[in-house]
Amino acid sequence: MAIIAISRGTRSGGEAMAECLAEALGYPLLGREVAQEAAARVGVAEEELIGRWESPPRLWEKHSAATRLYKAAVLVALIDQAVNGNLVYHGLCGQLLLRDVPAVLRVRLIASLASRIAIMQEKAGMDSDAARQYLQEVDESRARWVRMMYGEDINDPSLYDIILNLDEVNFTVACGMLENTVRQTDFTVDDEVLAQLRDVQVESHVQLALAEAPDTRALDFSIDATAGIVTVSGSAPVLPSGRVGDSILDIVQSVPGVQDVNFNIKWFDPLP
Amino acid sequence: MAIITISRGEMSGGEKLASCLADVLGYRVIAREVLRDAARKLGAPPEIMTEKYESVPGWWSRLTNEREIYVLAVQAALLSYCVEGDLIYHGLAGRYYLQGLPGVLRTRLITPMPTRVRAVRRVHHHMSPDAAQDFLGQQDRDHARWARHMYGLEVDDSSTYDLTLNREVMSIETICAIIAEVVAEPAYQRTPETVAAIEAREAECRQRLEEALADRA
Repeated sequence: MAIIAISRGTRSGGEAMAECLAEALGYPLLGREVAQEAAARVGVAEEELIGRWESPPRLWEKHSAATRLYKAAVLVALIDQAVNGNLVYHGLCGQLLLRDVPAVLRVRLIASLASRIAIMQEKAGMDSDAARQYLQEVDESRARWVRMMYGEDINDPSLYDIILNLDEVNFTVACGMLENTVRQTDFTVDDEVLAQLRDVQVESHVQLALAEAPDTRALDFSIDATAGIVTVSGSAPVLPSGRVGDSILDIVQSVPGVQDVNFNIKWFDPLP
Repeated sequence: MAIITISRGEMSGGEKLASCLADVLGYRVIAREVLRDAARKLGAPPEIMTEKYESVPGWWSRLTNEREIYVLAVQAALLSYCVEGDLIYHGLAGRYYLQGLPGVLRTRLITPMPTRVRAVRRVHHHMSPDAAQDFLGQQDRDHARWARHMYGLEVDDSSTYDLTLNREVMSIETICAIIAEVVAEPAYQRTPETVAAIEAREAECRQRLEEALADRA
């Protein structure tokens, strides 16, 4: 059992590989729609996020809040599906969303521009120049998204467990190899891993709740959950009403699975 | 049956992986033997090969064909081992020297820095973790610069490998099993055609080496 996150360039065989693995392993299959539906649920449009990140610096704080909300919503949607330890996900940024999640195999599929152009010509009827331009624009768009949302280089090999060059390794061989890889002990989903997945689920729901709530959406916290004990770390303003601390506590305690809350918060004067 | 190249950083577990593959597949493991053989061909001490082959070329050596000679000598030595039989090569520039040849699986092993630091400190007990990390960082930078200058290759360009494997989550044994599974496929079987292609490449390389030596003379 494992969670497989497949990252790929457009027309690199990623969707087909995800389908092959889901069928071979009997796992549920999720794609890009997870992120789009999650974003819609919290009222954040993906197209707007990129535009906002390219806005003047004074608006970054507001855009950071929207980005946090988006990422939290997408992670909740993914983790709720993955909490039982079986999933194939081929949407954007799976390797980053699931970076701290146990039993995840992060796969990247690559293919040369030439072979991808050939696929576009065959499948979409594009001529070579149009296909090249389209693919390069999509590649650049995805790289920019990863850079802006996660501060990472999509081509950084250290973000993945396996990178497969499908120009050189046969697709069927690759699918069989990946299927066998997740059956190895490195990806065993035992009781300990299931408990960790439940912890990640609680963390993600707490993060989402804080990102949605009016009193806390502007604040950036890191959340750690272990067997229901949640620690909230970060910075928060001291207000005369003392409301912020109470708000954080109420919000976190409202999340199912939370049994106790600890604060590791640096309190600052918002009007020094 | 195949030729497997393993590209990796210093203290990344490349030797351990090569050893595992040798146990599983029964292949021969080759690394610095090619430098020794190349040195013998050129009548040079082996340490010269390390200096010439692994350091970034200075401006003077770029004006001569000295480095071309050394590189061709190493390539010819490696190809002669490939002609002899299936092997695992975990020395430098395997993916460059064997590019375009059939039956070659070009792999790269990525190892998290903390793991490499521990490996360095097991050998060099006096090194602090920070010193070990600095040392490895410098090695990585030197290696990247060398690959770029010598072959126009970027170490982190995943398209120059067939398979990149990360030890962050996977054990050497799992990675070994992955590679062994891939090379069991027909594309990597040793056939008369694949042997002929390797022999032709070796012959071409040796001819270029002789020509370069003649030019130097």
